[in-house]
Amino acid sequence: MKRYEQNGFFLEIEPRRCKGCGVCVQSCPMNVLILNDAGKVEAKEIMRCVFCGICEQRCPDFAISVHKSV
Amino acid sequence: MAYDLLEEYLRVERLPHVWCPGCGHGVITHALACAMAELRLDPDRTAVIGGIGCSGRAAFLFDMDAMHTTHGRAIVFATGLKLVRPQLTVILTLGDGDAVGIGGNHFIHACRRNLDLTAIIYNNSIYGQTGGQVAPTTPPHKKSTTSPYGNLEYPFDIAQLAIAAGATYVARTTSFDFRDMVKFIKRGILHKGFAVIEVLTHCPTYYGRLNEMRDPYEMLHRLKEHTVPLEEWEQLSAEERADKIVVGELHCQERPEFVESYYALITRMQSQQVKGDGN
Ligand SMILES: Cc1ncc(C[n+]2csc(CCOP(=O)(O)OP(=O)(O)O)c2C)c(N)n1
Ligand code: SF4
Ligand code: SF4
Ligand code: SF4
Ligand SMILES: [Mg+2]
Repeated sequence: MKRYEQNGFFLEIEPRRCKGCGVCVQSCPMNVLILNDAGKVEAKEIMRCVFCGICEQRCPDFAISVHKSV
Repeated sequence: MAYDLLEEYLRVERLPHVWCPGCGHGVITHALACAMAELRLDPDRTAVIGGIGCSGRAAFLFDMDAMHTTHGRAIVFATGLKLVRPQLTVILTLGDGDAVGIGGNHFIHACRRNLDLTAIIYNNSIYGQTGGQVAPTTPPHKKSTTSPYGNLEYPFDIAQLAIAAGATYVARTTSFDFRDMVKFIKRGILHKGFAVIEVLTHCPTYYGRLNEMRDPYEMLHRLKEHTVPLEEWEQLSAEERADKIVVGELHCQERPEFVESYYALITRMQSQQVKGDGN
């Protein structure tokens, strides 16, 4: 499990569930995400993330999600 | 977001699930879990029943009573369950082939009876699990492994079929429209009667690959482009409608619900018997 925290939100990625379909990478309006050499998603440019949740809604594998930090 | 509640409803230890990379079935299942979480359904009073097909496998991702039944017959099992346990919220996860191919007869009669069930139809326009054969929902000219030169048949419009057969809540959306999936599933569950939520979705492995749309992202966007919300649809001419599919809440009606009528009849007959015994 990877956690990318910023400005009161965090993006959580569960690489074990990710099948590398790339849908979230192509859907992200801010170009935050990439597929790494292992074919798993990574938040390469987390600074640009606006925590819109589009990646979470498009992912078929429950592998990426957006949360409010508490 | 309801995501934090998902673990209450899903058997997350079963992830990764068996569906192919990019398959829309996972997105619909996510929306169904969100709908359950937003309604705060009690998992001990909810059951999910699936048929056979890639879609039917959604049932056992839910951490509650679930049945993986026979192909086309999920509605039959759900009917039995709902009749003996009326207090349960019973949700069906059906494929297009499952619901209106082999199970078409059960489907139309469930609509007519108006049993309080919620049927979510994972319509990927193909038989996914068995290797991409033509389905009664495959659009004309589209390819499948059994229509390699293009489909010669005219498909069912599942939502229209459900309305004509008497379903009392019918909505259609796509795997692209996440919030609409959640909204319509929630309304379908709250609706007293047979609710059908048809979700047009993408099967990149068969439908996509055979029809030159291998990329799941591209398939999602094609779904979006081919559908028109109800409000806009009403403004379109016949030519503009050709090649497009209307989405939205298409039908909602109040009509006596079967399980309630059934138990009311039992109560009435029992009270008559009691009176009769007194004579
Ligand atoms: C009685 C019976 N007939 C045929 C089959 C083979 N079969 C299994 S799944 C399936 C079709 C699946 O298509 P669909 O219902 O659209 O689900 P999908 O896999 O596309 O989600 C068929 C024909 C079966 N399992 N049982
Ligand atoms: S939350 Fe939005 S901006 Fe952030 S990675 Fe996901 S899609 Fe991109
Ligand atoms: S959509 Fe999900 S499964 Fe696909 S690459 Fe992104 S995180 Fe991985
Ligand atoms: S065959 Fe199609 S419907 Fe079945 S899991 Fe693969 S992509 Fe999904
Ligand atoms: Mg199918």
